[in-house]
Amino acid sequence: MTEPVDNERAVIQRAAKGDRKAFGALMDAHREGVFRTAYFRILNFAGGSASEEALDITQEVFLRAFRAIGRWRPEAKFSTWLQRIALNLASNYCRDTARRGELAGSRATDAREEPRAYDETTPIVRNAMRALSVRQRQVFVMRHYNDMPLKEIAGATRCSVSAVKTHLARAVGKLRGVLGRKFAGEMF
Amino acid sequence: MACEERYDYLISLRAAGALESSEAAALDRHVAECADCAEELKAALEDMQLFRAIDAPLPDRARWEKFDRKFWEKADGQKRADPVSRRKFSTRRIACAVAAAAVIVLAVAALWQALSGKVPAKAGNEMTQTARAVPAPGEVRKAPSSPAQPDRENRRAERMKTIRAAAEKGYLNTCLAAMAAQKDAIVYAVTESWLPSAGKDGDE
Repeated sequence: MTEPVDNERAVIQRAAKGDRKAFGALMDAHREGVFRTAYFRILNFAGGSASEEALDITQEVFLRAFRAIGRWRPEAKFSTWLQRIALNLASNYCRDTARRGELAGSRATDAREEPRAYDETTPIVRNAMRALSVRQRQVFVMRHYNDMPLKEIAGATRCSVSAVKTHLARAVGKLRGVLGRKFAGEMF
Repeated sequence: MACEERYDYLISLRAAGALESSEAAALDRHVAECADCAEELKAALEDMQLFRAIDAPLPDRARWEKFDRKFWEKADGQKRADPVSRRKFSTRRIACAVAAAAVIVLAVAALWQALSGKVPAKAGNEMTQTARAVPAPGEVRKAPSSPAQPDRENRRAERMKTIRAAAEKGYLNTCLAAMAAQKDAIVYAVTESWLPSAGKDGDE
């Protein structure tokens, strides 16, 4: 997990005035979270190149944020804003990929380039995550990996906090079902 | 089991670290008394630890450095491209163009008005009124209705006199040239039927 930025609001204001170092600090603090959100969202659509595609989406998220940072308002948390952009772009990617007929799963994995070295854990994650609905996956990734508070997750996914909690509980239940069987067979 | 549904939900939330304090207190009270739920909670927390270990394949440092380089290249490219697009499509630019067009239209209208000596919208009415006001041959001319325009009325009367004289003598070209200078005379000439009689003779 990357280190959070101290006094983020001031850093954002400096970045809005064109301070590249300030924007770089924001990018360092948030890029992993944005990457995860994009990665798990496109997992079923990108096959073996999910990491590459997620990295491209992450870059586009920050380019858009860089362009529009002057319009950012302190009422919204910066991370929520970024997560929302990431979800939108990742959803667009999924829609476009589905439209092109490059559908998810093993067929896409086979058809595309071989997974890279840093994709070694992909099959385990992918298989477990496939059990979840899109919303459950989004909510779970934001909470479990990105450590976002429920309220922020609600803002990013445009759900109520109680809906977020319901998605989260269901996601945990499903994952435990999938993983429990998997790890019981492999590890013990 | 009666406790299953409600406490499964709370156990899952606890495992995800999303339990609120009131719910946490209720769960703690329950697991203190229910061995099954206590066991389930322990298993759920262990499962989530396993899950944390299989995070997304985050890029390593070298890839993030490459990411940064590529990002700033693109961001700088955007910055260079932006002023051009702003110049092409900005609201300010469009507003300036509209304002310039409006100034040109107003200038042309003012020039036309100055040259013709009247407001375009009223021209038709004035022409008719003026034509009616043109005195018949030999008739004594009335004083101008507006004291602000005596010179103009006098000049118009002079021109009408010239037209009438040319028409009476049959000098068609002279008559038409004079009428072109005085548009009101066309209405007058048509209504008074001077043109046919003038056209008979010609002025070669």
